[in-house]
Amino acid sequence: MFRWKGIIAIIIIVVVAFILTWLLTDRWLEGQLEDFGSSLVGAKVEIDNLDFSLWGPKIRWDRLQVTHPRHTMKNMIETGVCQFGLEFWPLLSKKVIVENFQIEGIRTFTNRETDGALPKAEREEKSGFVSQTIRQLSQQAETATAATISDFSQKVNVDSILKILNIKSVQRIDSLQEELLAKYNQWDKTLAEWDLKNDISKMEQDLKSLDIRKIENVQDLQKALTTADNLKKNVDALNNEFKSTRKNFAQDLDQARAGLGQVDDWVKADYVRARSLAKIPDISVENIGMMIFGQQVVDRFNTYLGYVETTRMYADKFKSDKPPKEKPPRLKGQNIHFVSSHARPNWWIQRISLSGETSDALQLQGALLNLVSDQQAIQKPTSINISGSKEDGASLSFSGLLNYLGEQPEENFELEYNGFSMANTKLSDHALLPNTLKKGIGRVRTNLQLRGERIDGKIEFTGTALQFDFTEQKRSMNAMERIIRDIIQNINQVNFSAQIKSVGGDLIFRVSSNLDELLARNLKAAVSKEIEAAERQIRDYVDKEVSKQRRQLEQMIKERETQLRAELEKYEQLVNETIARAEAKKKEIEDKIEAEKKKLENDAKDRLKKLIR
Amino acid sequence: MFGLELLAKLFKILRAEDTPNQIAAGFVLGMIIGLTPLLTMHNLIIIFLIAILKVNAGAAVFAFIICSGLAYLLDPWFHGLGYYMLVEIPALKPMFTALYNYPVIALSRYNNTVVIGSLLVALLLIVPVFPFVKYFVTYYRQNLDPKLQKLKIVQVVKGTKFYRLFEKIRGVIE
Repeated sequence: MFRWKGIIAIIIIVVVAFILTWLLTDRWLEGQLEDFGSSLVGAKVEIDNLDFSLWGPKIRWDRLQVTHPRHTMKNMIETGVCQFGLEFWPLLSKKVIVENFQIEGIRTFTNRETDGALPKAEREEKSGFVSQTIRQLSQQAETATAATISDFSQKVNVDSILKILNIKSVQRIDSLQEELLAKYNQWDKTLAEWDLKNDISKMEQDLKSLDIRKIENVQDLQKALTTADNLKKNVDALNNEFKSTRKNFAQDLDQARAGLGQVDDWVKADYVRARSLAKIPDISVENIGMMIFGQQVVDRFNTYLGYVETTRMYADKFKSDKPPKEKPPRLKGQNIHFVSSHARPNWWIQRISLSGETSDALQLQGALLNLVSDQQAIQKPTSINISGSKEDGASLSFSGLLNYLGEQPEENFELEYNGFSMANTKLSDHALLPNTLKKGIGRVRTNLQLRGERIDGKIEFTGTALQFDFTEQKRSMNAMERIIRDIIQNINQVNFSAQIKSVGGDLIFRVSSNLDELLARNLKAAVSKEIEAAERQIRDYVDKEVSKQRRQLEQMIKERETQLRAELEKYEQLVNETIARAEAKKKEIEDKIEAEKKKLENDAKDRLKKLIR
Repeated sequence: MFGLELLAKLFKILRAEDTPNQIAAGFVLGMIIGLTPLLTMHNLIIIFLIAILKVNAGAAVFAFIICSGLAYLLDPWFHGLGYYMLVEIPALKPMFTALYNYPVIALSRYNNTVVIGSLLVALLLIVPVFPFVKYFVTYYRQNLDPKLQKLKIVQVVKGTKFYRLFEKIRGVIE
């Protein structure tokens, strides 16, 4: 029954497997945690020398590095040695429960030895409301910040742009003209083939045949009246048919005119395209704030939104009663999670106590509570509170709440950082504000609230006692750079506020600052002459190319409309005349009937009188 | 070349000293491993069973090779079946939820669509495959093998020095 050789082989295999597990588990677990962390953060998460011990059980590592997703040569967070215990029995149910995880000596924004960016293939293009908002914000910032200082100062070479500009209005007008021509021809045909004329002439004959002079008695007159009534009804029906045709005709003409109205929009679109090819910057007050601070603001919002995107994705995974069917790679399958309110979650770190310092020596401490795979299982939301202060008076507080207990997911983040030094920093990476600060004090306040598909967020920044450093600026500045230098030399305070709001799919994103009007006015004054000339040249060119076609179209519409209207008016006249004649004939018969009746009545009276006498 | 090796293996299994029951048992156990994803708890148990029980290990390996290829082809179907079982049948949900939170069982990966879909198919296939293999082995030994051994080509191959050398080497290795 039993194969003893096999039993010995199994024992050997088990021993070897145990040794291999003992040797390789740490490496395997390290890799798993690194992969999971990297997918959460969107950049490399690295753990050094992870040690997993079944006795305890516990996990320990020498160092944890979490790469900053946008500055991949920097770590967002770096820790020293960390150790935490796990509950043993839940491990057998594939559940990881950690009661308290103490992380001390956290440092932020430390340098990395290698680039922590993930290979492009590993970054998944996610769908969903938050992901869409992130993409929209990034696009808006990219468009706004695309203009460089050279765009403001270079001579706009309109001629070269016009050579490659394919004016689409001309083709569109041609298509519209063909479309309208077909419509008018159709009306021509309809009016030509309309048997209204035949019907009318038949009715005219019928009316003429009703010669009441030849009718002598009332009975025949009554018959003639019935015929006249029927004729009148037929004429009315013809009139209704005419009115309905005239209504359709009017609607078609209205549509044609609406098509003509589109021409202005097409020309405008061509003009905007030419303007964008020529890279003529839009120096409006609304645009300056977005140009200078847009990218920073979007980066900050997107950092929060990125976390929301990830946490919502995991929350959905465990929340869904009926997860959508995926298309996994072959032999991988899809894992279905079964949530029970009586069971413990798949993983749950009840408390992470944090302490450390930021790159500018701000002492931090705080706690992250209830980091869990499924909040429903513990009926508690995830929260984070971090605060810190510095000897020079700078203070920071950050709080976050991720609540997936209700029907709609809710997230709330608030950050306030007061009194931080701005020395050796830049207010913006944009060319309009290139200088580093010698000194300055900053204050930033951010809040972001999400509820389902609604977003409401605000960032307010104030930089006071600012002093810009001009020593690094090159000596040979162009006119534009000189203007900017002159402006920022005379300011010592910069503030900006940004707002993001999304309701019902419409995303509103605004950035405004105290520099907006100042820069817009001065830059406009400096470059307006050249920009205006370029704009005029583009407008003239587009107008010239389009005007001939446009005139032709207008002329064609006018001619064909007049012709068709004249035709229709003829019909109208015919119908009206027939109606009048039918009514007249009817009246004539009615009058004659009345006269005959009177005559008969008089005859009867006379006879009666004779009889009485 | 691989096809020939597989054929040779098949003939070897069929002519082995093991009983048809042992060969059929080995075959169905190998079939389960082949049809389902390899790294699962039930496959560890099956490998353990193949090792300690006197079933034909060659038949298990043969079935594993054949069924692995089949599993790759049938994977989308297994996924669909598994998804249907895990998600679309509400009556099974309480049981799956209980298993999901049950120690050790939770480690079995049964909540994976391909694992449960393929395992169900493999278990159902035992019913026809075991008696069929058993019958085929018996039939082969009684009717086909004597005829095959008489074939000239078989005798010619067996008579070559190369074959004798191959048998010697195999004897030494085994």
